[in-house]
Amino acid sequence: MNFPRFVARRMMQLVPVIFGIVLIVFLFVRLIPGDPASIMLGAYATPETLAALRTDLGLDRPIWAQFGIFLGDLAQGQFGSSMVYRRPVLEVVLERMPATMMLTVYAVVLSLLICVPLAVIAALHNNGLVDQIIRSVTTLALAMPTFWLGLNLLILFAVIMPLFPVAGYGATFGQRLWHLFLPALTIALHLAPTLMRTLRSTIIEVMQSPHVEFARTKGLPPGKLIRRHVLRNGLMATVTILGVNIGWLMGGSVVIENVFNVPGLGSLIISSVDARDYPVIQGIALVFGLLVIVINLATDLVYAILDPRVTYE
Amino acid sequence: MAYAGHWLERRLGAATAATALSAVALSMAALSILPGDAAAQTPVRGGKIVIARSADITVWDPKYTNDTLTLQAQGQIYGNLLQSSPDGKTLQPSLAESYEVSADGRVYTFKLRPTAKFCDGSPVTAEDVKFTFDRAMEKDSRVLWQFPNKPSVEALDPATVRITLDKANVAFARYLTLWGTHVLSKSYTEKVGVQEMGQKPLGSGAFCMDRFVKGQVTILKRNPGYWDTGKPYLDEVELRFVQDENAAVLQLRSGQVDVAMSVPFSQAESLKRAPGVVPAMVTLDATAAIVPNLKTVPAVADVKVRKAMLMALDRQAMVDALLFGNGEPAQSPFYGPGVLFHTRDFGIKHDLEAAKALMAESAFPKGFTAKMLIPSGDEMAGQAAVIVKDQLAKIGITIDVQPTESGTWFSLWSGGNFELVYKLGSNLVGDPAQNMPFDFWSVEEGGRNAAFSSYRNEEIVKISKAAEGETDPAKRAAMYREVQRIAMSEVPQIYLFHPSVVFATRDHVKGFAVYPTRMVRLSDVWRTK
Repeated sequence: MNFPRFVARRMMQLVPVIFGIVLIVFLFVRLIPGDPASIMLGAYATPETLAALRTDLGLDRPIWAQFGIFLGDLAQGQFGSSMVYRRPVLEVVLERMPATMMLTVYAVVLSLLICVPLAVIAALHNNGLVDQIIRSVTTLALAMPTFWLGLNLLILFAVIMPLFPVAGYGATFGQRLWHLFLPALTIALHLAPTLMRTLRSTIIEVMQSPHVEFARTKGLPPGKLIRRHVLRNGLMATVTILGVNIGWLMGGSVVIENVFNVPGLGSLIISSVDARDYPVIQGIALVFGLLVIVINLATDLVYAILDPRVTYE
Repeated sequence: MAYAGHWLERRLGAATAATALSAVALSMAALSILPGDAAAQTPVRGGKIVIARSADITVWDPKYTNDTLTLQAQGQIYGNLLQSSPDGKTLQPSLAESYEVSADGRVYTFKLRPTAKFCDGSPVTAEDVKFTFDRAMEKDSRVLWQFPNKPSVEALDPATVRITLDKANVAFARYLTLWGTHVLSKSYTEKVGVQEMGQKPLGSGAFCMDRFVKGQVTILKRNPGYWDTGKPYLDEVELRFVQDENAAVLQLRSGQVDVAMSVPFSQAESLKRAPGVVPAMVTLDATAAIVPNLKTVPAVADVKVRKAMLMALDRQAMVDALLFGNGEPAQSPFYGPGVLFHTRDFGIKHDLEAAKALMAESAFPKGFTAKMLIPSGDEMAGQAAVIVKDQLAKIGITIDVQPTESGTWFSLWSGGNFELVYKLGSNLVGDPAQNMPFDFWSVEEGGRNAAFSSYRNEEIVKISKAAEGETDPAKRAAMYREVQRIAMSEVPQIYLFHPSVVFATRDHVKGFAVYPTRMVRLSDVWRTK
């Protein structure tokens, strides 16, 4: 069985990628003007107190020495300590992770719920009026900036018609589904058009293939035909597009979380950049990077479920 | 004079007499903040209120705190040696029931209140106070500025603390009301460690922290051992994190919360008509100002140009447009009417013709062009900049507004790499001595090079240094009046306005107020039903 070896090899490939992410983030946060010590101490800082705090935070050392310390800590699974929250970075980041993860998964589910039926209907009415309407409406959704779309949904469904909360996260799973609906829908509406278009064109393509023609002539009912022979083949390309878009999804959640006040990684990274909380920024970038990589890996693995012919070497 | 009856000034005038403060004076001060007819009502004990706040608490360790909303919450669970009165003008006893100051103004001796207890029931001792001060003055502290004149602390006996300054500073006691000196329990902090203490604090304030759900709510419960018998009135307070101010107002209207800590100005009017909601406004001890850099812009080194800039600005119109009238034009270098000795007597009125005439007399009659840094994302700064740009254009000054990310904005400003910069500064102790070093002194003198502007006035520096240790209140008042007179004739900064904040409560909430320092004291709050 090649599968475990495939996963192991992919994992090995991750090491240089992660090192790259770490290095870039480490250098970039230090390139932004404004150092953490002067932001923390504010206008009343004197040169002596600033120097003392810089020493305390290790900011007075050469940048390569700082990077070395950071790498050494990382190798031991230590992400350092947040300068603002005064707690281990990992703790702060992991606390915020469930909200972002739930939002992302929720958005993916919603976008599939939107795109699959629409794609099937559009494909069945290829170039007909229904197809045209579906395609133009979804293009419109794609053309709108997410934060603007989000604000409009907020005004419509939380202020004018108070069906959903304006902001927040909730305590129980049910409450969270309710709280995160509008932000997830915002992301889903932005993601669905791309998925829908891919799915629609592959469905049209698959529908014309000989095996579908055969299934149709042998008298398979249309519903079964679509489910069993068309969608399964058509979803391959959509899953690829989805996998590629996960990175965008995570990035998009930064904006959306701030619009909807979701206590996730997105709002944390913004406040951390404001405060120049270097360890937290580095931690989040690393977590985001890892997530994108892991999800891409998972996408590859999903192929095997959708298409038994796929093997891993 | 308004400050003649000021407790601190009076007792420093006496210089040595120990002053025991009566509970009567205390409760009267507490009542004075109750709005209107509510003052006639008797506070009721019990119940719970929910307060919507636009930011979460970062950490409960005061040593590492510098954001307003976190320290607003810390103030409810921690006790200090002294506390300021609701109007910020006077000092009141707290964990210390009395204190005396030596004749030279350098040695403060505090008598701790025997009934003061932490939330775990243990007494507040002199060792705890010493531990707190020593810790807050360590070099990684964010609150070092709250310890002027190098105080050294000794625990003389369990109930007596002696603080010695290297030089007299009349305003020193006022710093003891700030969060840097929130008294920590030495044994608790040493037992659980600093990190744990930052999440599960132990204080001796009116309330105890019961539950802290990050990003969501904090539940405070009454401290049964609170020294001020009968207080707090409320059994429980819920601090709810509602990031969006408009959302908070919606929740207030629908009764889901009892207090909205900050209300957008645009909503203040309509809230007045909302049933069951009482909006209120407080002018902050803060000034929005434009700091000119005398080194990089030759024109602003000319006092006539600076004065013309101030005169050309219709600052009342600015207050009306930006703050919907909630605020006032700044007529003094002091940070607001709540600051001691503040006077509007030397204020400069809007007069476009006079401004034009001054420009014509100056060395730059044709005007000049300058870049103005503002922190991006700061709505008030952005709107103020638009008005400033428009009005200064009338006297030939072209302003190029440059919104800059806040961290970068601060680093450019504090590094002196700017031409003009918009800033919002504040006074947290109610005494002008707090801001003098920053606004007027050089770096060598412990200041910040006159707000990094390179402005220098020897007279102001000399007087403000002397005023710091002046124990005669009348003399001190005259000195600070002189500082204001000189500053307003020199216009070292283009003082714009003192902003305000609007907050709102449900009508069953009584005794709630936001102080000019943006602090609140929930121990005074009660509800009628």
